[in-house]
Amino acid sequence: MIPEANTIKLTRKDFATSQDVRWCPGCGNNAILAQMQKTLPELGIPRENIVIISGIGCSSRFPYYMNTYGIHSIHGRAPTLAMGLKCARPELQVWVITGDGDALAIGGNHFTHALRRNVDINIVLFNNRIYGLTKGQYSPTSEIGARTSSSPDGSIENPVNPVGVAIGSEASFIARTVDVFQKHMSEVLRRSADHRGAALVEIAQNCIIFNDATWGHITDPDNRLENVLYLEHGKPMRFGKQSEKGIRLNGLRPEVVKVADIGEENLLVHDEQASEPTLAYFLSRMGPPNFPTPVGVFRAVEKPVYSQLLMEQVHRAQASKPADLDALFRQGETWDVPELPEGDSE
Amino acid sequence: MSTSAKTREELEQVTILFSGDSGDGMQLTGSQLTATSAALGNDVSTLPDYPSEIRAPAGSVAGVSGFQLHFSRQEIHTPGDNPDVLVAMNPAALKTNLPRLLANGVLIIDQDAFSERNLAKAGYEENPLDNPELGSRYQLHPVPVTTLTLNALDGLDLKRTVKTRCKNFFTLGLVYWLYERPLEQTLEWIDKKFARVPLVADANRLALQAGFHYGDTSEAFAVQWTVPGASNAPGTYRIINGNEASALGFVTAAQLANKALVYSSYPITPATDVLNHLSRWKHMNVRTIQTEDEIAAMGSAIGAAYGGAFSVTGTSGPGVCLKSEAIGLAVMLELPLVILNVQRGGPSTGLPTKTEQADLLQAMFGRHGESPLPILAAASPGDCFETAIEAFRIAVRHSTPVFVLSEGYLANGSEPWRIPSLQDMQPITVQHPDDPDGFQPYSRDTATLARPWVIPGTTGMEHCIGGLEKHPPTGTVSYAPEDHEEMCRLRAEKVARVADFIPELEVNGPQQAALLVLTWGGTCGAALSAVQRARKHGLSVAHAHLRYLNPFPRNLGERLAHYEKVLIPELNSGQLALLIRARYLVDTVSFPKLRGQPFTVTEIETRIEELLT
Amino acid sequence: MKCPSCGYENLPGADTCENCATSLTQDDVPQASTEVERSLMEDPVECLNPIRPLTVNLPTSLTEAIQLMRNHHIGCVLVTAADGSLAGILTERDLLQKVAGYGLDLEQCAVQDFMTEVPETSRAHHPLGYAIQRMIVSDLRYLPLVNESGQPVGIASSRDIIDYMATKFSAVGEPC
Repeated sequence: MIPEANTIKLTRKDFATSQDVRWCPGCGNNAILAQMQKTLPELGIPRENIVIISGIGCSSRFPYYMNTYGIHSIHGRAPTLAMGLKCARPELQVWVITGDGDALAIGGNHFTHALRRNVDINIVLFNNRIYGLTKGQYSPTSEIGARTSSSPDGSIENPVNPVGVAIGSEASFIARTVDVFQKHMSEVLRRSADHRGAALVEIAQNCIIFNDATWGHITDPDNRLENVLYLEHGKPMRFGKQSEKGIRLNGLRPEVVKVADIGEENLLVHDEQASEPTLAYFLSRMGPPNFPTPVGVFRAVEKPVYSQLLMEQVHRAQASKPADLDALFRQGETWDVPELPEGDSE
Repeated sequence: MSTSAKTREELEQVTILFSGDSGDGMQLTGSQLTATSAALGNDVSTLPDYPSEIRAPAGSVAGVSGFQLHFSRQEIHTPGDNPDVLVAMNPAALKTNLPRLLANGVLIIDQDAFSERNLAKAGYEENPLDNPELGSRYQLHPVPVTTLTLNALDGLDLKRTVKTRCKNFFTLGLVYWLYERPLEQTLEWIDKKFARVPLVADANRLALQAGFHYGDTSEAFAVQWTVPGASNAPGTYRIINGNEASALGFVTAAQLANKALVYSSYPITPATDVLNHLSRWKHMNVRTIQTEDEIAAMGSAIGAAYGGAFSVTGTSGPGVCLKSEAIGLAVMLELPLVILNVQRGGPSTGLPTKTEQADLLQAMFGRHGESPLPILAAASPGDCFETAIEAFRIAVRHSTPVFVLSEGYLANGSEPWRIPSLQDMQPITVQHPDDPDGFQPYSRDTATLARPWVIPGTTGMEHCIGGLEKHPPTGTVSYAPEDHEEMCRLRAEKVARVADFIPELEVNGPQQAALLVLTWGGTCGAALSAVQRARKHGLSVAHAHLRYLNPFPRNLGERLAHYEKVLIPELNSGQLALLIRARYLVDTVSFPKLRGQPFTVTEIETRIEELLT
Repeated sequence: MKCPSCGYENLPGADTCENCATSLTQDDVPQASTEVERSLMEDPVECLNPIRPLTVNLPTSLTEAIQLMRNHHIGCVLVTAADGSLAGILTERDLLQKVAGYGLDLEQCAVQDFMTEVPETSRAHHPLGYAIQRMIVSDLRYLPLVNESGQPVGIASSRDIIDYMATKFSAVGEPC
């Protein structure tokens, strides 16, 4: 969504509500809320034009805490409301706040189709790999073997990752960030807001009560540089305490190499704008134990936007035919029953 | 062989069933006869009967397609109980429909189609035309339609297959002669529709005239019938079916409010046509969204309503099941929108192409929690138009989702519809408050208890609404016992107060009598006719029809008390009867029918007689 | 599809033409484009003049069954159950694969132990193309024909189909 020129300067306070925040102390959502309240005013969009729609889950408390228009809807269905809203009001900026269960379990279908249609919305998926609100069941992103209240003997399910699903759904903007990477998160959120089309931002989020430290390998400051690959468009993929490691493509297989061994010019260079998502897909597969976890913008391509195409069809139709309701009534064959002349009666 | 040898009889009404293979063009034949009869001033009512398979083998029983037309000098309300004329274009059509033909009815057969192969395909061991009983039970007219059609087109440079296709026009011409219908309208129609292919236009014209001529000159047809015109109110008319009327109604409602119409839907029989119609009317600022599933359609409808559009979603029974959680959300959010259920045979996949009225209790109670909403039901194909507009009026005025119940019988059936004048229609006033001073999302209008429809984009009114229970009138999340009790009360009272804004119930016939026949939905027509007939026989019976099922009209209870018995025929196991009983403590006589077919006039008339003797 | 009557371009699968209401349901289904295709799609199996089958019941000895087949110069017998319904088929292939060379006492062997059970069948009015498909599915050269009650009324063989086709399309000469 391209920010509109705006003379009113909004601040973080404009976006905070008086609602008491009900997340657990130490919940990653608090950090995300802070960033959203900081970033949204900087977009230059009048607050009344922003709508936040959530489903069900801890993440979905979000709209209550943001002083914008908001709907706290039902589990998994937020993208559907966002879709209808965009078709009624294409000019509004719409955020969908969802979680790993809301978006990938019950909402998997709507998640896929919203991305596929390239509806101009920003889907922010708080991935804590657990069902927090219902007190700790495994989710579609939980690791196999995860011991939770509904899988005391370990989960037997193979997880998906949101970035991979988004790629399969033809998403035009895919990014990942982390709840404690404050600056990074702000930048990613801004970029997703700027993107015209469906944007997915996966936020690796920590549920301190039911799945603490599930992202520890990337949030722990001592190991961050070793375990995180910061993606930058046009730059070679490097990571490590001294940026001494890199990613190279060996045939069709990415591998971790020492930069010194092969030279920086032989490293894989990140390309957000590649027309095929192949590179993004390779990146989506990367993670422990053999790879760092990529964060940043995986993919950002321009594709026709659903509401724009719809309105183009509407406008074209309106230009070619007048909005004549009477003509619509008279489609097909009509016949007239005349007034009876005076004096006749039935 | 001249017309002077023919006799002429006047009839009050005729019910004719055209049936053949789906490739025989019986829908075209039927709709042309309908249009011509309507233009002559007959009242008409039709019911098409489509094959249940998408493509059945030619000549098979599964491929039989029918079109029943009832035309009359008087006002009629149904497409006819049983046909008194059956046109059967092939053995499969005869096999399927002969049991419905009235004794001594007219039976017109395309004898050229009764080949051994076609007989085998229809499952006939022997040729039924060889059975003398056929001729004695009915007025049998075997006509070599294909041969005569080809003869008539001899000399035209067209392929044989193209010429054979014209046999439906031959048949039409013959029927036109039989019922003294003029050819002009159909001839004009042929000229218009086949303008690009003049040779085919010629063929169709010749076939039509040949059929007419055959009736005129053949000794087999000694009698000509005529059904004189009725008088409809003056105006311009067209034939309309329920689905198209619903679609037009939704567009009209949006126009009356100067709003965009957003229609979110997933294809489902028998509602899909509404989506198809609306998707072609973008020039009326109509936006259709074919969603990925039923739930998405309801979610999308909520989002569009939240944005301030006139929002509607259409489906059938199975779709309502899926939408129920989201409908509950709409009730909680108190947003104006319309849910159209074109009912079909259930439960589960049921009978997708057959009609039923068994979703009333689902509309009333099919959501968890106390989740009331207004329910309207259309009475006839044309009434689907009025009902659609009324639904939006109520939705907007009372800030609530509204259920509209239609049914397969109305959706596909058609009748003459008087084209309304836009000047005579009341605009729908919509208010989107924009004064932040004192604004509370769940404050209430004193009369209706509606909450304000504040839409995003309005400066200074930002707020969040959701599915959790709230504290009235601020709308903030609350689990407090008194808040829940009060909100439940308010939601129920808001719907109940709709009764203050809708018309009272009108009874057709004596205001006091031994029996009242009470109907809802598509049963209206059959009941009205049955009661008219019964009254002609001196029985003490009246008819009332409900278009508002929730809330009921405010005088319903009082009206019911004036009748000793209340008979409720409905295409379900007694759902309205249950509601009336529970609400008014009236011991209704339930008359259920669950055969995937509408009530016949005779069925209701017989039941009335049983109760009154 | 293009309406064959008025030429209007309809959406694929439309039941009737949007312009002139002509029915399209017979025109967009696969049509036979040659005589051979038409014949396979429409000519019923009974065009082959299938023979009345030889039938034996389940406990019949192989000796008897073989004698029957030899006497009638026929490659199979149908095996019926006590109620007359088709239970199986015994063919030359069964005899080759399961009987010949095993030194069996044919008098003591019952057909029910050597037959192919519950073979694919067809009805007499089913088209040739369907019959061929059944033969492929069953991997047999013989196709029993049954009536509504599952009782055998005929046998069609792949040879019959070849003969029929040859009669119809015999004018093909040797290519040069």
